[in-house]
Amino acid sequence: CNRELRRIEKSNDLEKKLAYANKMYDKKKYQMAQTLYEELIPIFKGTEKFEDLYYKYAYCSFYLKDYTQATFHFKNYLEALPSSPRAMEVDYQHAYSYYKLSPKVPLDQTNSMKAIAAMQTFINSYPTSPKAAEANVVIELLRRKLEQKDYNAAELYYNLGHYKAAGVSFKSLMRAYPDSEKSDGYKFMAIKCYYQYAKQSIPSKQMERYETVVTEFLEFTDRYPSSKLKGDAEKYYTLAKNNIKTLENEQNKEKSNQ
Amino acid sequence: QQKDTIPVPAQKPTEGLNPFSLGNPQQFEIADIAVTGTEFLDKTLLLSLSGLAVGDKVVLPGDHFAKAIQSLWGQRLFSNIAIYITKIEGNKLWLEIALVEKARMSNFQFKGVKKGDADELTTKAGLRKGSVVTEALQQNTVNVIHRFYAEKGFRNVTTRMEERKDPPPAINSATVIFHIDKGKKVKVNDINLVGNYSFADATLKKKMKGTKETSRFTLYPDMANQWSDSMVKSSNYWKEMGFLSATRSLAQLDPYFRFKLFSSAKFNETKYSDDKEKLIAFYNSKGHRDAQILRDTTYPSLKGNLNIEVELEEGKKYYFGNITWRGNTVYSDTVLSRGLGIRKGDVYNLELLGKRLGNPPGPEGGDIGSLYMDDGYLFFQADPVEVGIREDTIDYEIRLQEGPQATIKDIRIAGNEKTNEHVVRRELRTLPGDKFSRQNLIRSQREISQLGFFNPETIGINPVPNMQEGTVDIDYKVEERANDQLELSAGWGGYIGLTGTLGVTFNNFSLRNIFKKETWDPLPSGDGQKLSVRISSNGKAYRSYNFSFTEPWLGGKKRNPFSVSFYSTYQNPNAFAEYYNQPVSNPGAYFRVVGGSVSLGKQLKWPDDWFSLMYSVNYQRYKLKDFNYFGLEGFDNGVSNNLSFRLTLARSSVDQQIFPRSGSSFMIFGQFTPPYSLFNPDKDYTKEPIKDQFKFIEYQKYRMNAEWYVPLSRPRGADNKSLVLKVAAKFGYLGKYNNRTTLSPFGRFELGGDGLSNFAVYDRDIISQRGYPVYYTSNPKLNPESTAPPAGYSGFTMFNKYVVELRYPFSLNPSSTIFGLLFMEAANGYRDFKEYDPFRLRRSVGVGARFYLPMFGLLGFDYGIGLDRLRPGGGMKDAAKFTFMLGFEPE
Repeated sequence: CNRELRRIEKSNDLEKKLAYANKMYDKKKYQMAQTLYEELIPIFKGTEKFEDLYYKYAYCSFYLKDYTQATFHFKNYLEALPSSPRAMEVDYQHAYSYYKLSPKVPLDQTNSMKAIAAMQTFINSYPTSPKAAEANVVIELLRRKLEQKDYNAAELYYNLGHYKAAGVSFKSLMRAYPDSEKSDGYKFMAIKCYYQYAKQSIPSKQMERYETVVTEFLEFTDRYPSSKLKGDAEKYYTLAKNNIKTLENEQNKEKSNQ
Repeated sequence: QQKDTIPVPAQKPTEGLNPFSLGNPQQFEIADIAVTGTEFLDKTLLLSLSGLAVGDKVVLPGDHFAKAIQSLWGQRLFSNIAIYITKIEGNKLWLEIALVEKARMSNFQFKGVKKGDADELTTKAGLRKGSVVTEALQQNTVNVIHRFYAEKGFRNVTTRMEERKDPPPAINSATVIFHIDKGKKVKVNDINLVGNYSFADATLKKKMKGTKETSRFTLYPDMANQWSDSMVKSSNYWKEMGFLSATRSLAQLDPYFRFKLFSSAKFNETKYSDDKEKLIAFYNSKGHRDAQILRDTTYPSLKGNLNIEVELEEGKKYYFGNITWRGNTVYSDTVLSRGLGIRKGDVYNLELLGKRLGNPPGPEGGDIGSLYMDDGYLFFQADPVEVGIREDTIDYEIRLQEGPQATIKDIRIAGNEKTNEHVVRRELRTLPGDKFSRQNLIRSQREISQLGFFNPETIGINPVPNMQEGTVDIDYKVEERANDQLELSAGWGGYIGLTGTLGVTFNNFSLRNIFKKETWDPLPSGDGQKLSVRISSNGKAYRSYNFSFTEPWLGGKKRNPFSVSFYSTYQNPNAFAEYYNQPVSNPGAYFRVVGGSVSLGKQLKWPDDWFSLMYSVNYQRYKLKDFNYFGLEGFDNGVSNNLSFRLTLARSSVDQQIFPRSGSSFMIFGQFTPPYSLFNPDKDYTKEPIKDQFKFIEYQKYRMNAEWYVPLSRPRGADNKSLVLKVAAKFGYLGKYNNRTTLSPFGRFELGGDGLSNFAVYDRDIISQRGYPVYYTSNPKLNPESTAPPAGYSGFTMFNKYVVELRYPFSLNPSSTIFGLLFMEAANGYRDFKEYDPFRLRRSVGVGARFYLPMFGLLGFDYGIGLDRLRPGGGMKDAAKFTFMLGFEPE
């Protein structure tokens, strides 16, 4: 088989080469097909065979799991042949390759964001396509990933004892994913963080910071009246309230002493 | 662009529809499209590429056809594209797309140049196989070639393009060959400066970093073109004998002899124009703010080189007058004026003023901008405005816009394709909710680069402010770099057979992912842990295995470095004799060491956060068989167990690792074995046979190291080079718990030499001393080279070492840090308290250099003279020693 490939590679019969490349493609020998296509692309550029050739060439990268190349080729295909009947499929594949490039949560999620953008473009261009539902699922999955990543960051600040940073991060997480089912959990964590932050502050700042806990809790009950975490949140609220009272008493005592 | 020049078609449009009347755009329908001029390409495909179709409605005049031309042009297949309207009937249009197909470049070559140049030209010219051979392509490539060689000093390049049609079956393609003749290299012969009265020619030429004169040695100078208004006439030179100086003599000699070893005399157009700007900038920095270059020219010299002529006008020298502040609400005028550091009467220098105000922001801080920026005033702006010129004095008003304080909101990290985000995030000093601070930004950048997982040159930090909310997001961008190390060596030789070392160090390992198969790529990575395995063997004579693992943040909540290591070595003294079948008195002899250690560090908050504490447990088991390794009577068989606990307290405030300029580091530790002898208070161990005494080794050990770094000169140049003084002192003591025991050879100190542990298989502290070989006595005068230790010596139990070093950096570039040093050292070791005398030291002086290269780490050498080795009659050579170091600085 390899000998045959070498023979074909050397031959000058371009049509035969293309036929062989297509045969290899159908046999799922994508590596060989890719090599041949690569050579044939500049030659067949501008002819009617080019569309099919480039379509298969792009798929070779996809099947060989070289998704970076795949995104590039699918995009090129779309740019060169926007009115092709396979444009919709290629558009989806383009976005899907980005999805494939999206790494595990703790790593750089640039490709996830690109995938979301590409999927959204796909949905906007082909809202009635049968793939549109699938695209929505992919977007949802990726959004969860990004949410999880942001959550990990906020949690890290909490674990490191940077309570203010954690509080700010949880709040911004809640704002970024308002439709998340864990939204109340984020708010609860923010309350917890602000409480810890107040507790560790110098006395002159404590009063003000405990009051933030109280405001945050009131917002919590406003927004999530039926949350399961309400009881836990209330504990911090009570603690904060008690501490505020103690601080007030001390201040009054100091005043009366003077 | 073709559309504008299309002639009006011969047929007059009927019924008053005119596609070219701008005031009255009309809608037309395309009735038919003809594609002409193509020979090889498929017409229907071209039609679909053009985006035009029969039945399309187009509004003319409009940009419809321009788009079609653009998309066809984008195919890079044609040398010309035109769309003609051939007929108009009613609102129907007949079109013709006229194309000119060009040969496609199947291959290209550069002839007459080196392969390396050709490769570089290929990328620079952006040539691609398959593109169309057009005039533009040819012109562009020729330009690139000329520019490329002009930069290298070849200014007379000729290029010719040849187009060779490819033989069939290739369709319409050609091989393009560029014949290049580089010609002769042109160098800068003379730079003649005219009109400079305040500064000498040499001073100004020094400022022209990219344009230098060539070396010269001739008896017949080209005097006709060698002139300068600042040059003293030969006759005057001799008359002014009293003021002859080196500079003036050199200037006088210049037409005959000039020596430039380290500068290239290539002429580069862009560098030359930069240099002209530098000249003006230099004058500006000296108060001549009106300085300008009146005219300048270049012309060939007699020998075909290049002469440069520059005529300057210096203008008046100016000074700073009153500097007033406007718009400051946070800091008072006094604070700002002090921070600015420019006083009335100082020489006028606009660049300095800008720098002190912090535009553009410098990395070192200390300017007005950083005063604000470190306190959240991200939107701060300072605008110096000239408010009056009195004679040579310029008054300034500095208008400040303080803006609101920005709070950090989100911190985003991108580019970590391998390293898990928390490894980076936990190092950052910019925390959400804090006030923006530029200083913290710089500190964060330092922390990221110190991780070693990312390219320090490409760490990007980008604050994204949000004016409405008064917040700022910070985007960090990193680029992963490989920093795993592989050590591999092998050999075959003589009696030892196969020798070799196989060592791997993974600096970004992830232990928790070790059982997850999908993370093996090629090993689980990304948690910033370090794993190293090393196997080394000298065949039958020596074998050693090492394993170590370090987690820098144990528990993930605090910077608590934790590490575990295991090692084992085996040594056979008879390998040589056995191989040559020589008689061996102790067949089967060996010395084997097996050991391990666990340590846990902790960063302290008190007294300050530079302090850290480290606990560690070490255990070694030594086994001797028929091998008197230590030269101790009766200690050639048996097992020794060395279990010890160490407590280390360290403080380091050194400003950077490689070339510290300021700060100090301090380390003290105590190491203790269990006091076995105390469990048996009546037993006198010294009476026992030696091998039983050393079964459970017993000692207490104390060490102290202290280092200080003090900058001695003001920072100079772009990277703040300064002379640094390093002072260091080290002490060590090893003792018994009581007099009923004997001190073993383990844990002792070895002094002198290059500090490398050549095949050291047992526990000892190696303290180097430059200028001396390894020594065995406290008498400074006894320094025999490469002899075996005398009987009764098994290492010192006390030592002192003092070092004074003067260091100067030659290059502080992160990709190669180089510095030179002068040192004075004094050290000695003592066997016991009776011998101890802190003033009885071996002294040495010398010079050295250190090179830090990213791939190799440290490379260094020292040339030291042991002052106590100098003998009357003996030369300095007998007392001197070269020492090399690789990888780490020895103790």
